[in-house]
Amino acid sequence: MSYRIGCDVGGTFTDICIVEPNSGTASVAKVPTTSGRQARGVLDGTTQALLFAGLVPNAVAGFSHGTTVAVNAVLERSGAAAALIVTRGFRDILSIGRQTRPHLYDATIRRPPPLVSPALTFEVTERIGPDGAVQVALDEDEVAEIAAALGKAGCRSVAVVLLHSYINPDHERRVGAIVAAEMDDVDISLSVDVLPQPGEYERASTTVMNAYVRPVVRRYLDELSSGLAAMGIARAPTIMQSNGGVMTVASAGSGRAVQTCLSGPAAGLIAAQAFAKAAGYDNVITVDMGGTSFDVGLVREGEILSRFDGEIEGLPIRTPMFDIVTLGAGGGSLARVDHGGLLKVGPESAGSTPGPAAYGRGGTRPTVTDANVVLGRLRSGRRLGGSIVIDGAAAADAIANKVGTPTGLDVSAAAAGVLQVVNAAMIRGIRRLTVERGLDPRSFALLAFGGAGPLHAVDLARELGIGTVLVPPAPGLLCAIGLLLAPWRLDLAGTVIARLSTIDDGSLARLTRPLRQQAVDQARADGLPSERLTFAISADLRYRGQGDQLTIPVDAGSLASAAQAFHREHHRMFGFSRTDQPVEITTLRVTATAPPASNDLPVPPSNTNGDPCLCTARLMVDGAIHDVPVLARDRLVSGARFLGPALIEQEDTTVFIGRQPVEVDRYGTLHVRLPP
Amino acid sequence: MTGVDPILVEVVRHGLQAVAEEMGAALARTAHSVNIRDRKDFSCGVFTTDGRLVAQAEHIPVHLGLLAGIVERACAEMRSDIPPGAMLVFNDPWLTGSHLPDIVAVAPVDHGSRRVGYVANMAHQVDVGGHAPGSLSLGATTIFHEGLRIPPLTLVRHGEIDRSILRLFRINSRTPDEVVGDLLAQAAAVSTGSRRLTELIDRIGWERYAAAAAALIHATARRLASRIEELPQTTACFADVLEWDAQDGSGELAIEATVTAAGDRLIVDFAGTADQITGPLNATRPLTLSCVLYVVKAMLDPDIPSNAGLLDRIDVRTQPGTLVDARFPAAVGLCTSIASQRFCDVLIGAFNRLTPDRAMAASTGSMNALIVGGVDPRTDRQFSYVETYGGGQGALAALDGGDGVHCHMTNTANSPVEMIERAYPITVLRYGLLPGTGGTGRCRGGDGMTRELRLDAPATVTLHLDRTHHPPWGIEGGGPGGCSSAVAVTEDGARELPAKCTMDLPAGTVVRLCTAGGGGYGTPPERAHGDPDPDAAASPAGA
Repeated sequence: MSYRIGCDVGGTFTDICIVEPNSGTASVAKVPTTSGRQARGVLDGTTQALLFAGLVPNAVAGFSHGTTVAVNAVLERSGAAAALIVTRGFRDILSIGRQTRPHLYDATIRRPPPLVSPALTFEVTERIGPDGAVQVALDEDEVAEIAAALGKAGCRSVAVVLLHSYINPDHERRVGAIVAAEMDDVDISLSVDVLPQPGEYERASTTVMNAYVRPVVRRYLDELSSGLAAMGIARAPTIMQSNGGVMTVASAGSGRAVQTCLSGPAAGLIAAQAFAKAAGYDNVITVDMGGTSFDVGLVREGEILSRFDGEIEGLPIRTPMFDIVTLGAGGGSLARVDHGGLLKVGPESAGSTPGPAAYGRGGTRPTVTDANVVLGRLRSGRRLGGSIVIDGAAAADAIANKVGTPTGLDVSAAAAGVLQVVNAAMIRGIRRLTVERGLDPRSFALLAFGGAGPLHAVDLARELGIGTVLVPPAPGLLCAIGLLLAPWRLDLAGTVIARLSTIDDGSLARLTRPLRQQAVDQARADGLPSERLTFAISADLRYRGQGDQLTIPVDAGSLASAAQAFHREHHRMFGFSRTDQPVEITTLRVTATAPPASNDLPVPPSNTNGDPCLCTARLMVDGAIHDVPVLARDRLVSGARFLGPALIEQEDTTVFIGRQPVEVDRYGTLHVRLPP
Repeated sequence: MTGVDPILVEVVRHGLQAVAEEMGAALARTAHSVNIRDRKDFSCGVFTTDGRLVAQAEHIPVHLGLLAGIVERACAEMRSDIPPGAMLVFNDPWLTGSHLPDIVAVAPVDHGSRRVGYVANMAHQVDVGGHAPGSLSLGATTIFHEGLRIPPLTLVRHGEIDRSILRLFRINSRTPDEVVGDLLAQAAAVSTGSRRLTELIDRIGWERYAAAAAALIHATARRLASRIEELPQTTACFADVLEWDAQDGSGELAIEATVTAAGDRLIVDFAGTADQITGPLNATRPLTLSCVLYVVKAMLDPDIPSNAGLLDRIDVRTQPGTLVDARFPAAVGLCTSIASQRFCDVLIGAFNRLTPDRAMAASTGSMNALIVGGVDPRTDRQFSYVETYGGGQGALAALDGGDGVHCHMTNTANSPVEMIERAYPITVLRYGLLPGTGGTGRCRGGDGMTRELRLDAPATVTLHLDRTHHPPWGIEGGGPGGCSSAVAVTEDGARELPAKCTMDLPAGTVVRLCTAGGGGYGTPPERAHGDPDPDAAASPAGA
């Protein structure tokens, strides 16, 4: 037997999903995340999960892992003491950034300090021009002196970012070689390896982040790998990246460490895509709502929408990642009435302590969760994870005092108002991801996950004119499941700035060949036969003179159709195209993937014994109180159909259903139909 | 707000903000110039049927007060309302409140036969003619020298673009492709905004929408009133100078503001401010208003929603014919880059006495603009590089000022070095902070910064600097920031450039620009001999 494990570390819990490949049956475990000692927590959790499932470690043939070690190192500023070497004249590149301030009116809000201290930033004499020509030769003696100083200072990770290295990397590579020769046991991150594209600040920020997290990630992965091996799990783990694919431990601990920084939401989207596809949907808006944040993602024509830039706490990071809009709206978001008399919800959150008033841990300020309690969507007296029992009276008091009284509304209307306002904020986020890109949300289904997503999904869909809401069987475990479904993936890019018409298909093949070869070499190093690789080529195109580009797939290696596709996409997104203008290519991209061991969705453990109806509850639906059934999710069998209103409860979430018909598909996903 | 549902109002606010943001996204993504697409030198607004600003996507504060009255001023100039299906463009400073490169596009939004509002955007175009590239040159004594000035023209009629107006812009610009590309992007953004507003009203229903929009403006007014009521009921006055002399730059022009809190109203009076001049440092009244709104937001309530309600509780008194309310035909090229920043300084100086807990020392005091234009020998095409540089931010009571950052009325991103060198015949030799230029204090002012550029082709260079002799002030015993300066280095040696100038420089010249640091806050602590200087450790100078 060869079991596979998906292990996702979240802020509060580490989720472990074990799948038996033949039957597809899954068993899951949730253990508290041990911050600071993540490897220990993961190993203990894995041991527990195997015990619980009655398995021995040597039955495990794969361990796919999503880790927060890198992003935590950035957030907590606990990464390596990294150094930065830049072109002479540009030592303040990180401090100045783009010279903007984060808030237009609030002078107390500042840019984040750089990850590399000024004392560890060095300039070298050298200069390459925008055409790649060497204007000033590299002073190699200076580099050797810097390396010697770094060695003395005990520095073990060095980033090198020289101007225009994306077009001519010779100086950068030479600096790297000299530093490597002069220093023992040093990690070198060259910007041309991390991000070979123009825009020196963002390239430096990404390269420095790689240098900053790389030693931490490697130490963690070494500990994890040896721990798993000691347990008897021989196969080395694979690690999730922000682009939705996995890579080896060796890659994650080196030049691609930075790609684990924003991998958190990626696995969830992979699983969401798979459940949506199994349910028959290629166009899906995904909403993941937890305690403090709301993430929106998009699957369009079966593909997850991606982008190439993001940030962590104001530090830019340019790696391929899923395009996710995050808002500060969650169950813990606080509601208040402002000086102008308007009801505001979030982004301030009650956090885990004191948490919502309904949690009975001393919170008195009303939250979105409290509004859900007042309206009956979360039942008073229901036990949530751990010792929390929902206190309906406390929720009602908080809503009545802080929202009802100042607005003159009764407690139900006030609670409904809190939901309307938080939903309006979330709808704005969903529109940002769809309407701003020329996509009509009405042609999508809405797939909800996270602890709070299924409580709000029906309302969001109705406001947006969406016809179907999907709720996968284990909304709280999507990330762990997604890890098992993630392909091996490598994204490579090369800067090519030229008119598209000057590049024929032959030169396209010549330009992409080194990138393909690099992917084949990486696959070989990872023990992956190159015939399992699939290549996708795309190009960043723009009209001459424009700054922003659109990434357009280059089907069958032909550029002619790419130009046409660019005009069409430009028209769709912006309402016009300029076929009279020359089209420029700025970047060529090659994505290599290899499929996961199995694409099958895990079958949820279900309990077919017993009546799914647990009890009835009083629920506010469309402004009136109804007695509605409360159903146990694990007793809803495949093929079941019923008509709302209803509440569906499961360990990790509650689903609110209005007056809509619902059916359960064979993977356990709920389909809620909203009339047009 | 009697009779209006406070929840609906907040839901509509989110919807309107989305309309403005979607307009902004469309503009930034389709624009051709670096200035709009990367530096985001534009703003978008949504208006009620009576032309009041109800929502805005802001990137730079200077546009806040300018957009607020734009529809009203355009209609007054036209002596009629804008017909359905039309879109106006104009850049007359007495309508826009800004300088000539800031072009406004505005259109009514009609739903069936009903007018439901207006949408507009204002964007800084690269070049609209005039003396020198960038259309913001020195040497202008009247508006006629500064470039193409246009009253409201109907760029779009019955949904069709009038190509003759595009040609008018094209033949008046050194960068015709960029100007036309940007103008089309502005028009497309207005159409986007118009569509989105109609969709929003469809979702909400007209009556409910109209009531909510009015309530939204009222809520901002009320929220601001409650902030004003918390102020000591008193008057505070502050004066500072702009540096100006048509000959040698050694003169001074007084800027003075008196702020009075009276119940729930603020009275801001610029009496004492110098008369307008025959140079491009003048501002029209809407710009002054914009500075007042910025400082009120920054000092009283940074998160208050930006809409016309901000204007309801503030009386701004200006004397026509002064620098803050210049009359036609004054030149206004430097009104945003220099004048607006000094207006802010005096307003903040006065507010510091009303809100001592939020008091802030003076910041770099200018947008530190540099414009380089000429012909790129690589392409034989005209180019125009326009950029503003950040400086030191003023210190706060408990926080050092930020280093090398844009302050107050602007917040445009820098152009990446690699982008500058690809796009223009310019090589950047140095770009860094200037350690020690922040004023001393219990909290130090932010450091200014420097950029050294080598001109690889002969070029016309325009500089907008101020605070070259009058450094940004500290407060509560804090020291002043360092002054700004500009130097040209050629084979013949280095020479100081005038702070405000337009001049031709030969290929090979290195222009070194240094921006002023911010003022410090509080008396610097006494340090025993040998104690490490915490500033030195915290500043990049420590390396």
